[in-house]
Amino acid sequence: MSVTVAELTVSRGSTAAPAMSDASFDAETTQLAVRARAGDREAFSALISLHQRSARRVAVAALGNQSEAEEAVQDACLTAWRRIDRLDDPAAFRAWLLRITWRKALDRRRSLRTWLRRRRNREGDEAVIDSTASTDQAPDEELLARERDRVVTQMIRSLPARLRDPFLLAATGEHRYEDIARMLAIPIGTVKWRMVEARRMLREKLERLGFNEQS
Amino acid sequence: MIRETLDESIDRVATRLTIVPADPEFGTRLETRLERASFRMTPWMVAASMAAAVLVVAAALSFDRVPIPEEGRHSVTAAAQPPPPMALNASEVVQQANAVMEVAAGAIRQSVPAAEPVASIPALALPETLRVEELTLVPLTITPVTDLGLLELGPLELRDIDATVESKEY
Repeated sequence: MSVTVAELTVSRGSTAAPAMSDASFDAETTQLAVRARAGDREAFSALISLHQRSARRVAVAALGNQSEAEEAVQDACLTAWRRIDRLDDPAAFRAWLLRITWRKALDRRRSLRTWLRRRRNREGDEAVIDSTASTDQAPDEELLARERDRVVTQMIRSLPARLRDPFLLAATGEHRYEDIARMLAIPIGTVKWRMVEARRMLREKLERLGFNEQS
Repeated sequence: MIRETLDESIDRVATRLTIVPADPEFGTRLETRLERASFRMTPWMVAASMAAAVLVVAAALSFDRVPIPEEGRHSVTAAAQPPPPMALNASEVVQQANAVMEVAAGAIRQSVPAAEPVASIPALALPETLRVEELTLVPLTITPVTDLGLLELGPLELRDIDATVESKEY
């Protein structure tokens, strides 16, 4: 899957939603969730269009692959539609959908078939990351930055899943620590410790490879 | 300074790893899947279909079964019991066999005149009647085979095969 720089949009916080305040965004989510819970499929589709980007970012954080993430989110949306009558608090729809998405993504990650396909697609994704490096730098600096990004990418992907998952979920900018803790079913303190530990490991490895000297 | 650069690099890459491209068609694809999912058979529907199929098959089997006349029906206990031993009367069997043989011999005699033009078989003498003098019925006994010896094979001779291959020169 080729992605150009122009197509990439970085979303942080609630920017994944349409241009509206958090309060009205939450109010609309709640309203739509109530209707969807009553069986209104159009309302459910509208809900998904509001939150699908957040869900896809969660899935990409788990799977590291766009097409697999798309499949996981589609599965999650189907499950959400089938079980929406069990949603107690309509205001919590977003967190509920993201938890389902995370579980679906983990299911896919555990399957051998997906693992093999992801390995095949990894090189393509790395090429995408390389192509998104900044071009404002001098040629030498740009080359160095690109090489460093490539190494960091590999290092993040080679982190143990228990460190990588909270680290990448936080990097999406979509979740608070409480959300991540609930999604991973671990205490908030553990989430924070794992994020610090992931960063420390990455930094140490980079320094060992001499990127501190080159910097 | 160095630490800040590395941290910035780590954050930038981590963010890029979770970026997703805009996908305006996502809703359409999901709608298609929702449509399909609404027609998907649930487990209880599968179970109900299987039960219905079993009922249909059972009904078809019972419909095709030939009705058994009352006198031909036996109770289960009667069917489980071995049949009574047949009362064999050797003289009756001999008489019946002789009657059959006489009928056969008569048929042969009638067919012989048609074959008379063949002069090459003049000495075909047929008995007046074919008779079975005595028929003794002896119960068959099967001795269980308990010892199967190894098959003895004679010496296997392997003949030399002349496998000389003429070499070809190219």
